[in-house]
Amino acid sequence: MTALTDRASAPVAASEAPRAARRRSADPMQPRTLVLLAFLLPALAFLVLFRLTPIVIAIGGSLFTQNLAGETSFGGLTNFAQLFGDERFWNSLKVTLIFNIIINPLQIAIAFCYALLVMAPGKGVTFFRAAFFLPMTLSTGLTAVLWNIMLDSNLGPVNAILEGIGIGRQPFFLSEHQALGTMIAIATWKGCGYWMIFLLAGLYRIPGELYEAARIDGASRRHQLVHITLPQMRRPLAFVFVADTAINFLFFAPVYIITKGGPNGATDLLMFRAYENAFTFINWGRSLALSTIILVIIGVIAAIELRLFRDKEGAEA
Amino acid sequence: MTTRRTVLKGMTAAGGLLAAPQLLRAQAKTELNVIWVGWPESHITPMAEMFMKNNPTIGLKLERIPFNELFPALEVRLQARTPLPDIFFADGPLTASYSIRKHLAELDGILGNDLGRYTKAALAQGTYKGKLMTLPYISSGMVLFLNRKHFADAGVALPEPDVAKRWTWEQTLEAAKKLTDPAKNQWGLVFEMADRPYQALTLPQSKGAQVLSEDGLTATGYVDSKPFIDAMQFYADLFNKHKVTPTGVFDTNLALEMFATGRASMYLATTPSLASISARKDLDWTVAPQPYFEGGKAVTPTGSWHIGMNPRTKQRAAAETFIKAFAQPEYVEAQARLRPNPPVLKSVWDSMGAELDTPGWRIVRSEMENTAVPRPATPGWLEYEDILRGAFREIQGGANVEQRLKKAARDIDREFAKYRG
Amino acid sequence: MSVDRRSTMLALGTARYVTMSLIALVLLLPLIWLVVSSLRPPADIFAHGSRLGWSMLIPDRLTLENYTSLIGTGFPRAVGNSLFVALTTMVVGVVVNAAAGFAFAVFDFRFKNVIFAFVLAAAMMPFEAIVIPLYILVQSLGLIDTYAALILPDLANGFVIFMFRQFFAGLPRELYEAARVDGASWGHIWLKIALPISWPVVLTGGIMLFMHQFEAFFWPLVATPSPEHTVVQVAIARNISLEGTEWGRLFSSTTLAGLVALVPFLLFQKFYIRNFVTSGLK
Repeated sequence: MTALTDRASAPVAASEAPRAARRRSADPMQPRTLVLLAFLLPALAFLVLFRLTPIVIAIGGSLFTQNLAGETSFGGLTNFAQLFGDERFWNSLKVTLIFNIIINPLQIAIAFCYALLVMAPGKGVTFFRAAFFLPMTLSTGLTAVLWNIMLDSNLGPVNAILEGIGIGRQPFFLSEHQALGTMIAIATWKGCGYWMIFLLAGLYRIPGELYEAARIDGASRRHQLVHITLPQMRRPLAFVFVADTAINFLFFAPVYIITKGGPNGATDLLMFRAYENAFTFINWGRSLALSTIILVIIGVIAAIELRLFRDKEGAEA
Repeated sequence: MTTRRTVLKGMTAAGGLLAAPQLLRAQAKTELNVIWVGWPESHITPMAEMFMKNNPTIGLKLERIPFNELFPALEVRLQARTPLPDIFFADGPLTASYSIRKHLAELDGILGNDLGRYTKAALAQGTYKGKLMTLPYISSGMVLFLNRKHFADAGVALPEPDVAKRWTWEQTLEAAKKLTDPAKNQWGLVFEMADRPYQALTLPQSKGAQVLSEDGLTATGYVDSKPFIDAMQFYADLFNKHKVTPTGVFDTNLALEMFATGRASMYLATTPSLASISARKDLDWTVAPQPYFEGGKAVTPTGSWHIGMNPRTKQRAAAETFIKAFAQPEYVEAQARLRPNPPVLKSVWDSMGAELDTPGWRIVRSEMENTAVPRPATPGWLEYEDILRGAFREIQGGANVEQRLKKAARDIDREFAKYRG
Repeated sequence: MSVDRRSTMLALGTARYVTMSLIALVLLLPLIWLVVSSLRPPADIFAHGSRLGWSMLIPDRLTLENYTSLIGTGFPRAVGNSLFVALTTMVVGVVVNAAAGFAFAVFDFRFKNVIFAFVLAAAMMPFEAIVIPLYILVQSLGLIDTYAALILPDLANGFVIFMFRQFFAGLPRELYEAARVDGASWGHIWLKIALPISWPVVLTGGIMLFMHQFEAFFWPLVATPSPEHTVVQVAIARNISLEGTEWGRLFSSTTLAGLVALVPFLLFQKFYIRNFVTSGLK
C-alpha cells in the first residue's frame, strides 16, 4: 500500500485515468467502478453531508468576523493573529500539549495491561472484564459530576479516606499543581476499559502457533511480548493511538463542569477555549479559528503516529 | 447492496412514521415551540396545561433543556436565525445581550401601559433602551440561613429575622470565627455561589462601589475601584486569613449540602433553598437578612428567569397570546405555588399572603421593595460574569485582590470592545 | 508439566487475580458509591462523606424512591429512544463503515489516500464548531426532532472505517485473490469471507457506534429536544440544576443507563470467550 501522504502520485494517476479504467476492468483484483462506488458511496455520502461540509464551513468561518447582528465580514487571518498575540492562547496550547503527551501513552499502556490481564479465560474473569469496562458506561459529563463529588474537599469520600489513613486532605481540582493531573486521572479511570476492547480484538487475532513455537524455542515471556505480541499488534495499536489522540485533544466536559479552565489556567485546554469563545464571548470567528487549530494539530500528530507505526518494509499501519 | 438500501429506506420511513403524529398535531392547530429551562416536569406541565385549557387553539411544544446547557443550546438555535423557537426562557441579565443581537421582539405593545404591575427591579431587568424586551416571570432573593444548634452550642446569639436589626459583615465575621471548628469539620459561613457575581457583587455594592459604567460598556475604573477592592479583600480574608469559609465550594448543590448536613453554621443562599432546607426535617434552622458593610448600604441580589419572543417567529399572534397570558397574576401565582420564588407581580405578593408569611419570606418581601439591586445591565453580561467568576475563584484561592481585579477589568474591557463599535 | 513449571504458573495466576482485583477496586469504588447513594434518601447522600467510616458505603436508611420516582417521568421513554437510536446506528453503521473500510483496504483508486485523510479528519473536528452549520443543514432537510436527525449524521464514523480498514488490510491478499480466481464477486467476498473473519472488529465497531450514540448529549439536546425524542443523557442531565440538583434521581437514572450501556459489552465478551482459542497464550 502506498503511503498516506503520497500526494505526488495523484496528478500522475489522473493523467493515466483512461488507461487505468481499462486496466481496472481487466485486473480481477480491481473492482468495476460501480462496485467501488457501492462500497464507498454510502459512507462517503454521509460523511460529506453531515461532517465534511460543516467542517469546511467552520474552517471558512474562522476567516470571517461576525458582528452583533450576525452579519459576517471577511477578516482573513485576523482571528488567528489575535489568538497568536494572546498569552492565554499560548498557555492553553502548552496545557493541552502537556495533557496529551501524558495521557495518550498512559491510557494505552494501561489499556494494554488490562487486555493482557483479561484475555485468557479463567474463573470469574468475566467479572473483571466487565469491571474494567464499567466506568465507560458513565458519560464523560457524569464522570465529571461524580468525581467532583468524590474529590470534594469537604463532602467527598476520597479526602475523608486520605485523612483517615494519615495522608491528609488534598486539594485536587483546587490546586494549580494537582488539577491537570487529576483530570488525567479521571479521564484514565473512565477511558482505559474502552481501548481495552480494541486491543483485545487485536490480541485475539494473533495466531497461537507463534507463541507455541517461541515457547518451544525457550523464549521468555518478556521476549514473547516484545517480539511477537507488539509487532503483531502494530495495526490495532496504530488505530488506538490515532483514535485516542483525537478523543483526548477534544477532551472537554470535565473542564467545563468542574474547573472552567482553572485554577489559574492550569486546566485551560484548547477545546475549552474554543467553547468559551463561542458560547460566552460570542466570538465565533475566534472560536472557529481555535477549532481549526485543534483539527490541524490532531491531524499532524495522527499523521506522525501513522508513520511511526509503519513496519520495516514501509508498508503503512 | 439492495438489502442495505432497503434497510436505510425502511429506517427513514420508520422515522417518518414516528414523526407523523407531530405533524398531524401541527396541522390541527397553531403550535408554539417553547424552550423552557429544565425544571422537573411537575413544575412545568401544569402551567402548560393551564395555558392550553385557556387557549384551546394553541398547542405548546415544550423543550426542557437542562440548566447548564440552556445558554449554549439557545445560542445554537438563535444563531441559526430561524423562526423557531417561538418563545424562549432567558436569564434576566441577558436581556441586553439578546436585544443587541436582535434575538428579541419588543413586548411593550403587547402589554399596553400596564407595566406598573411589576416590581421595580423585575421591570428594570427586562428593559433595554427603554423598551420591554423580556417578560419578567420569576425572581429571586437572598437570606442568611442559620443552624440554631451550632449557635446554641457555641454560645453565640442568633441574629433576628428582622430587616431592622440586620447584622453587619463585621458582626457576621465575629460570629463565624466562634462557630468555625476544624476539629468537628465545621465552617462558620458558606456561600451558596461564592464565585458567581450574582452573589459576590453584593459585597462591593454594599460598600458603595459602582460595579460597571452606566452604559454597561466599561469595567476599568469600576471593577478595580477602591470600594470594590476593599470589599473583595474582606471576601478574600474570609477564606484565607480568618479561614471561616471553605475555599473551592463552587457547586451550589454541594454548598447546600454543607449546610444541610451540619458542616456549616451559616449559609447565604437564594430563595429556592427555603424549600430545599425545609425538606430536611432533622435540621434546626432559622433565617436572618443578608448582612451589609458597616457604613455602607444593604444590598441584596435579585432577578431570575424572563420570557422572550423570537422576532423571527411565524406565529406572532399565538406568541403574543402566550406573553399576555404569562403576564397575568393567575399564571405568576400558579408558578410560584409550584416553584416558590418571590413573585414579580406586586399583586401576587398580596394574594399569596398566607404562604409568604414565614420569617424567610417576610424578609424577602422587604428586600424586594428596599434593597434589591438587579445585576448591571450590559450587553456583555456573559463575558462580564464569566471573567469576574474566574477572578473571584482565584481571589478565593489567595491571589492578590487588587492585581487580579485590575486584570479582570482589562480582560472585560477587551471583550466589550465589540459592543462599543 | 514439571513441578517448577506448575508452581510458576500458579504464582502467575495468583498475581494475575490480585492485580485484577486491585484494579477493579479502584474502578468500582466510585460506582459502588453511586449505586449505594441512589438507594439512599436524598438527605442522607452527603451526610457521611466527610469522615472515614462504614457509613460511607453502607446506608442506614434504604429506599427505592429514587427509582420508583423515575416511572411516569420522561426517563423510561428516553432510555427507549437512546436504545433505538444506538441499535439502529450500530446495525446500519457497521455495514456502511465496513464496506468503506474494505474499499480502502483492498481496492486501489485515484485519490484514495487523500479521501482517506478526509475520512479521518471528519472525526477530528471539535463538535461545537460544526454544530450550527449541521443544525441548519438538518433543519433544511426537515429532520429536526426526528430519529433521523440523531441517526443519519452518526452512521458514517471515520474511526470505525479506519478500524475496518486496518483489519481488512491485515488479511493476506492471497485470500482475496484466490476467491476472485474462483469467480467470486466483491460483494460475496466482503459479505461471506471478509466480514465473518472480522467478527471481533464487527463487535468492537458496533460497540463504538453504540456507545457514541448512547453517550450523545449536545447534539440530541439541540436537534431533538422534545419529550418524544429526548435521549437518555439529556434526561439524566435535567436532574442537575443551579437551583437544586436532584441527587437521588441523578444517581438512579445514571445507574440504570449504565446498566443498559453495559449490555452490548457483555454480549461482546461472551461471544469473544466462545471463540477464543486458548493455546499458547497464558
